[in-house]
Amino acid sequence: MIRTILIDDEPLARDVVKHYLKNFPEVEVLAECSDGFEGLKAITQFKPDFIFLDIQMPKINGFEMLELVENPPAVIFTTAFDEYAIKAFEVNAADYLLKPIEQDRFDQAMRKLPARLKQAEPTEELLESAGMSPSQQHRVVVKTNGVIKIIPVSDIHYFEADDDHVKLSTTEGNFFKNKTMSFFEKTLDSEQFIRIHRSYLINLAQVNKIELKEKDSYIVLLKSDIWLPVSKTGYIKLKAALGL
Amino acid sequence: MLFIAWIVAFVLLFYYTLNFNWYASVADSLITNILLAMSCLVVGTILRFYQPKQEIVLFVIMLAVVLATAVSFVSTYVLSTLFVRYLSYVSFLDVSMPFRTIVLFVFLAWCAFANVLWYKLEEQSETQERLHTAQNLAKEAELNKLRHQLQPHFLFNSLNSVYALTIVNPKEAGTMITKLASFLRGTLKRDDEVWVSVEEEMEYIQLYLDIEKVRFSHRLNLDIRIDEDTLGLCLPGTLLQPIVENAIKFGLYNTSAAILISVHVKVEHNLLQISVKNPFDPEMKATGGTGFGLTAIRRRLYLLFADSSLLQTAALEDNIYLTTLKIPQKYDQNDTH
Repeated sequence: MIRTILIDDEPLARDVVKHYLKNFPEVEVLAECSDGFEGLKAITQFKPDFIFLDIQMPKINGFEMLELVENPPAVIFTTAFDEYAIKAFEVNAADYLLKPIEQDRFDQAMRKLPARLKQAEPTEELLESAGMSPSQQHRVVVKTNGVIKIIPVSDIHYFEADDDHVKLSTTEGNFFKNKTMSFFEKTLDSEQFIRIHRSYLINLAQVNKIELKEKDSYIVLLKSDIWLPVSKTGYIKLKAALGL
Repeated sequence: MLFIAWIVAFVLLFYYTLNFNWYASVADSLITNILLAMSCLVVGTILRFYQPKQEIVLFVIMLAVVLATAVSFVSTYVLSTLFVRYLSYVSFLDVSMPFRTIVLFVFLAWCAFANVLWYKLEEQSETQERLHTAQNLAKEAELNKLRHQLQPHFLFNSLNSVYALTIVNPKEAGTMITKLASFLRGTLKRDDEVWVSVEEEMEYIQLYLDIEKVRFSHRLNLDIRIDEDTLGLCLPGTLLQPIVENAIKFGLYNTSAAILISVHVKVEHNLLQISVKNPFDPEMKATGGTGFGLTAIRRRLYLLFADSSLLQTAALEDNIYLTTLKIPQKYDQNDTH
């Protein structure tokens, strides 16, 4: 048996997939979810072999949901129209179905499935390129103690490298995200967020003052009363961003 | 280089054909030609910054005459002062003065017309480029407008729903297809310039909501009230749909709960007033940008009525978002323009 979950906010869209799945009796549908939160819960609960995932859904989109899943299952994406998502799929050779979904196209994706289930999915890179979409540049979705939080980037004071995680320091405390510093540096607005140091990416709006610590070495004070070190190249970037 | 060759040619001309000594030949050629070159520069500069729209030929000729006379006088004066003792040369200077002026005039006039032509050509290619850019921009704007009108996300999802209905409920599928067709027809007809009656507009909105209702029947509830006395009133056909679309986007797409969207059309203080209410998630508002994307509608209202306050928004209790659109009525109801 191959176990799957359908995640799509439109019941009729799920009906189509269920209808097509009748030709594949070896596939068992464990759950149907109508948003990312439900999807996340169901994935944790059932640990499916693969999922059908819509992109545009209430609250958090399909990509943001995947970011929160540890060891994500294989994914067949379904979407009606989303230029950025489709570009991300193409770049990363993910399997995706465009709505309205053609029967032939669906069958083809299902035939390829057993081979895909055997190998690890390149989810990381897909999510990296999906993160470039404008809808995802204004917020970061995190999970802490089982609660999902959507943080607007303007609420983030700074990012700090923390082993293989990135720590987000915000008004409401610290959160951790399984991403790299360079991911945030690349995807966030470079006029708003400045990489001042190998380990720090700061929100320019949070800068209180910059001081010379010793020869050629600067430190920056944030509005949240935290001092952070500034590297030599970081200082040049910071100065340019502040128009000094 | 060219200039030096030119001067040398003149020196030789003076020396051999007119039989003056080397000093006089060189001095005459140098002084006259340098003055001529300076005059050419003056002509170029003047024409670069000032070209009369009419009578340009007359202007150029006058300019050439003035400069040629000036150059001729100055060079003759300077040369005759320098070579006071060289009698045959001085007498030549006196005699040749009109001739000299004419030659200088021909040169300067030629130089001036070349300049005029050059600037004309440059201006023309610039105009052409600007025109080209403007055309491209217009094309792009048109394309964007079309793309927005068609709302690809809505369209493809609706098509997917229709397709699902053909499997689970073929009869309903037929109804949905005709509704989708009527809605698209209405969309293509819409134009800022064309006013439609409340009755027609609300039928169009109803089609849009009906289609959304097929997609989200389980959780979309509608409450639409249209006061009798508004049916004959009019409004521009491009304003209400984006507002309702916005209500759907933030009220329906952003939540997975059952929701209510209400639309109330009435007359107040002689204004047609349409209020749309939708629930919203305050957390989403912070991350989805501000203003719920109504800026474009406000700008349109400003263009149509010079009054952007005709669109009001307010966040009510219980996370309900209220959008109110007011439309001043034209005095002549039959005038659709």
